[in-house]
Amino acid sequence: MESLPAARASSVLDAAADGIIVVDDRGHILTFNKASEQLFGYGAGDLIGRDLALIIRSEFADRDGGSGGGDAEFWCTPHSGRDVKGRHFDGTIFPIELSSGATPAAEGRRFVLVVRDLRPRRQIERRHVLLQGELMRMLRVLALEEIGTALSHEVNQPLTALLLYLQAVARAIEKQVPGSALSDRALGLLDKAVHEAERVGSVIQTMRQFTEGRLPARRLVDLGPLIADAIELALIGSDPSTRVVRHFAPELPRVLVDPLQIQQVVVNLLRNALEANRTHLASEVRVTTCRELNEVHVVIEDDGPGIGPEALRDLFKPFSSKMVEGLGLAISRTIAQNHGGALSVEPGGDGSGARYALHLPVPAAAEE
Amino acid sequence: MSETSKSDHEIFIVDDDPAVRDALSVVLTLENYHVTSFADGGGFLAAARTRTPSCIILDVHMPGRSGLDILKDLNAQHYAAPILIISGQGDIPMAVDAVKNGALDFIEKPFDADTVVTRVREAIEATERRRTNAGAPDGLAASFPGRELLTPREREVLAQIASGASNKEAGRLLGISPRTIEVHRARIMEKLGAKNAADLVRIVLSQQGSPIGNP
Repeated sequence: MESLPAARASSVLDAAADGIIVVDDRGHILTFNKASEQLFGYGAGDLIGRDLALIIRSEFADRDGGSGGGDAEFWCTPHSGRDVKGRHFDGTIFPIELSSGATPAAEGRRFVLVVRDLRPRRQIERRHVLLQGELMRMLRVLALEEIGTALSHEVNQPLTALLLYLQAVARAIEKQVPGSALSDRALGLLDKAVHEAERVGSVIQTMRQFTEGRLPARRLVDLGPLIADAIELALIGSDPSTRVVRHFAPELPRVLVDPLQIQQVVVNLLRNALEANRTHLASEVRVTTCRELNEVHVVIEDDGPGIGPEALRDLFKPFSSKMVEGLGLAISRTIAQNHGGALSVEPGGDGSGARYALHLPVPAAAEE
Repeated sequence: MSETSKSDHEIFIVDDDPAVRDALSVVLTLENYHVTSFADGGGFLAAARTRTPSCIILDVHMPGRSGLDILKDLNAQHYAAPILIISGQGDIPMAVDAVKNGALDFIEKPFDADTVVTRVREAIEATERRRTNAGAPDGLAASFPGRELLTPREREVLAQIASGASNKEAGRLLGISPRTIEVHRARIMEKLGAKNAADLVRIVLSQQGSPIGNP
């Protein structure tokens, strides 16, 4: 029945990945391609000549007939993609993106509608929201650990001096004026003061244990997947043009680490690298893993401006204000050291970016 | 130890924090020690090379040259005076490294006066005991595989372990905390390739006919 050009047009339509539907100006379906059949669960024969409102509307009400066509205006307006609802043969309502264009024909105006199922994209978006949440949580933990490290160091110094001074006074009194009512009273008060100072110490210690005292979480880990996850996490929300080039050594020995902590370190280094690139309009970050003697190295290189001498000096200082994304370099290094490893940096500059290397020891058992 | 003999004992304090340095100095001076303090590694190293104090208290975490670098520069493994490391809680792995590099032991911040006074006294006593016993057999076989890999301190600890001493007993005798004995023990086992304490004793015994500790 069909003329040759029409048959050719139909085969083209059927080859399309998107659902393509042609309607007339009353909203009656004229063409319904293969992809549409799959999308909506109807055969073309079931729908040709029927109202588009049966399967596509801006909104489906609770009780819904197949007639009406009240949305005619909606699809008649040319548009390059708006979110509407589709209804599958089995009754499922699902989100679709609808693009429409008008085309004049001998019989009157025709509208070509391109329909795309939004569910896979929504799923990706949901996963991104989830990952974003996880990243934020991790950054909070990082920030907490950084504060913990800085606080414990900054507070322990004066606290140690305070304890020693208080006890020095007590010792002096005991030696020189023992036994008087006044000295007993003074010693009692000093004792209380020491007790309170020790309480400060134990609060700090508890906080540290909370943030990084999770030693039992260490296990033998394959770094490859861990780093791949970290890359995915770090890339969330970054410039789409960003490329992370991976050079993972094959047969890398497993390392004995707290996976969460090491992932934090890698994410942190990657975010620094991405930030350095952003300021320098560069787009490539290289992640390399290799074995050096009895260590595994994870190297992260950017194409940014490098680190100036001044910033370099403050690089590992907690609360350093020099680095925009400097959050957590101090704690990253502490984590590396607590694993018996190190975090080294080559500052670059003069056209080359910064290069961070996380060193982790290969456990003795894995050497053989 | 009698009060009078203490003033003969000089103690070096190396810490970049003026308050900690001063407070330590006050406490130890009250105990009649003769205290000299240093704000950085350079001045300390210069002094430590010209005279040997009775004990050194060294902060592991200092800007510039770290406590670890200072230990290496001093060749702490063979330095005559005991070196006590003070470290923050976050620097424990560094403190353990310091012990591997020749420090006698470490004390965690914040610590109190009793702790530091006791540790200094024990360190000096243990060192004096060691000096008196110098030349006497260490209770270990003259040769066993890996003996040359061990530092003098590790040999002492090994002799204690092999004679059946607990970490606590060995620590008391050597002026070291049980935790630090544990660090040495792990290091010795690693160096000698021993899988457990029994293995260790077997290795040490392998080259001699008589049991250890009964010369």
